[in-house]
Amino acid sequence: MLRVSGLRKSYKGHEVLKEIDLTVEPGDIVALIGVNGAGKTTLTSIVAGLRSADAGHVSICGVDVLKDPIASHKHLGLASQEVALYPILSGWQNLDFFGRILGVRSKFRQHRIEEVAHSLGLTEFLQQRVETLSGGQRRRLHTAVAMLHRPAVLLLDEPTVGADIQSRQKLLDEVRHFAAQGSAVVYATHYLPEVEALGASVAILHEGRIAARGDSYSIITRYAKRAIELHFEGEVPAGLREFAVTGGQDSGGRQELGHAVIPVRDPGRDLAEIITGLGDSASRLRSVEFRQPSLEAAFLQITAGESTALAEEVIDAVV
Amino acid sequence: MQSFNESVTRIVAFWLNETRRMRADPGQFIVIVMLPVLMAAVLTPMALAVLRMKGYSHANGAEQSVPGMAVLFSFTSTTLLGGAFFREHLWNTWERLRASPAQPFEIILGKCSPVFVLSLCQLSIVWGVGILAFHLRISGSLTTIAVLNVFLSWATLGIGMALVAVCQSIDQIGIIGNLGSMVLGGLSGAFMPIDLHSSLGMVARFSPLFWALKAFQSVIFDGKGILDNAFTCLLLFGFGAGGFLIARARFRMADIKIGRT
Repeated sequence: MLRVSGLRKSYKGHEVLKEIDLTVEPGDIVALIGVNGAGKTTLTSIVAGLRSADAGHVSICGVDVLKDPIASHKHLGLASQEVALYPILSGWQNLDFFGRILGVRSKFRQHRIEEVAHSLGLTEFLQQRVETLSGGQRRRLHTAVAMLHRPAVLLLDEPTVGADIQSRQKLLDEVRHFAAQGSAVVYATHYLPEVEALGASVAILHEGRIAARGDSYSIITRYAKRAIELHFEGEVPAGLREFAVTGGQDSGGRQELGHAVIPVRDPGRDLAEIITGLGDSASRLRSVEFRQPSLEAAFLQITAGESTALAEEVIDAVV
Repeated sequence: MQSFNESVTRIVAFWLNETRRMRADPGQFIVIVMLPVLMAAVLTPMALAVLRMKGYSHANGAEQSVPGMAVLFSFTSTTLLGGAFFREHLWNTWERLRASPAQPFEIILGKCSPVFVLSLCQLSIVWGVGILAFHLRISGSLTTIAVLNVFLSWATLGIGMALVAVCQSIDQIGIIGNLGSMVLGGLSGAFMPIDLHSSLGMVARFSPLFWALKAFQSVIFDGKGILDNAFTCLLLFGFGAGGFLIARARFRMADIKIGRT
């Protein structure tokens, strides 16, 4: 199992991790989610013994990672964000090499390679050079390497980036299966639907802290507010704009013109009041959608900072 | 004991992986074997003239060109070693190795030893072609040549490991390896014999290639043996050991290196 306590890390005076506490028991899948720069990769790197920490304690199966990283690596499987394979060797040669390095005994190695390749749908590609495989196949092979020695703790950093739907599904199935066999899995991701598909518990990393921790249901119940999504012709009326949460951003992170997501408590009553409050601007309203509470809404609520005012305040401001 | 067995298993795994990698992409090795042979063929007529002028009336030119090119291109094994380390960074596998139970010395030993063997193969092929194709006559024993090959490969391996530790990118080590090969080889008289009493001759004494070439020619022309070249062997061992000491002081597993050209 994995235990992290009081973990701190700074880069050039900027505190990236502030007092991180996290425990992952055997059989658990913990989804580590956070915006870019929240510290996910720094945390997984420290847990993997690849970076030092300024303070705190990390142990894997009772082995102190910060004092003896190499000893802890026997119990660790890491699939970092970037695919790490030898492109000029075949899939089988990659798995064979890492199997040897990771201590998979020779009499089990061939069987284990076949087993993990089968479960991730790689059997027919094993003799091909990695450089000839598709992005999704490489991503699956990359994850297969991390699972090869059946580690007690599996760290997956955005394992489905660039993977096609089929690859993504195979990866998720195998991660679930892996945890069911007793491994503790830390799954860093941006894709929240995957978290729900995995049935994972959630640790939301925000500004260097675990801002929320629990199963998806409790996080949604506690943090997610229902919301109304309003689409206007032209710009969002000034009174509403400052209360819209980040759901109304375009791909470049800017507030999308004419699109606002407003957290509410009672959608029907609050919508009526918002429309009344819009006055003349109501004529520019083109469509309204009701958003149900979701992990995404909870995540936005936790990470959006000051843009989380509830409908009453919005209504007051508009009226 | 278990720990020792695990170490041996991992070193063998690195060895196997390096040889698979080189078999999958043999271009670099073929080039460093072909080039000295081709260069020796080109230089032999010129070397013949120079050796005859120096009073070696029975020389056929191969006595200069073959050991000269063997020594000159032995230094290119530094670029092979650089590739073995720096490509791990290009392919992101270095991080994976760092997150494995492999100890740093296992990784270094597992990567250096195949390059050492390849360097010996390179030298053996060049000598073999020299004897069979260029009719090189060696007064001394082939065993002495083989022992000197071992010490020369050790020296270039140590220097290569120091370069791996100090250089930041595969381009740097490539430039230093190839340029170093030409400059040190030229200074050492690999292309043409140099005057040992000239300023060039004095500078050449700082190059392991100079000492190796001097020893090889003492075996070819004068039939000298291992004991006669013990000092050279010690010097070559010292160059290699010095390189490994620099590597020990400067090499960091956590260093970020650029594997892309």
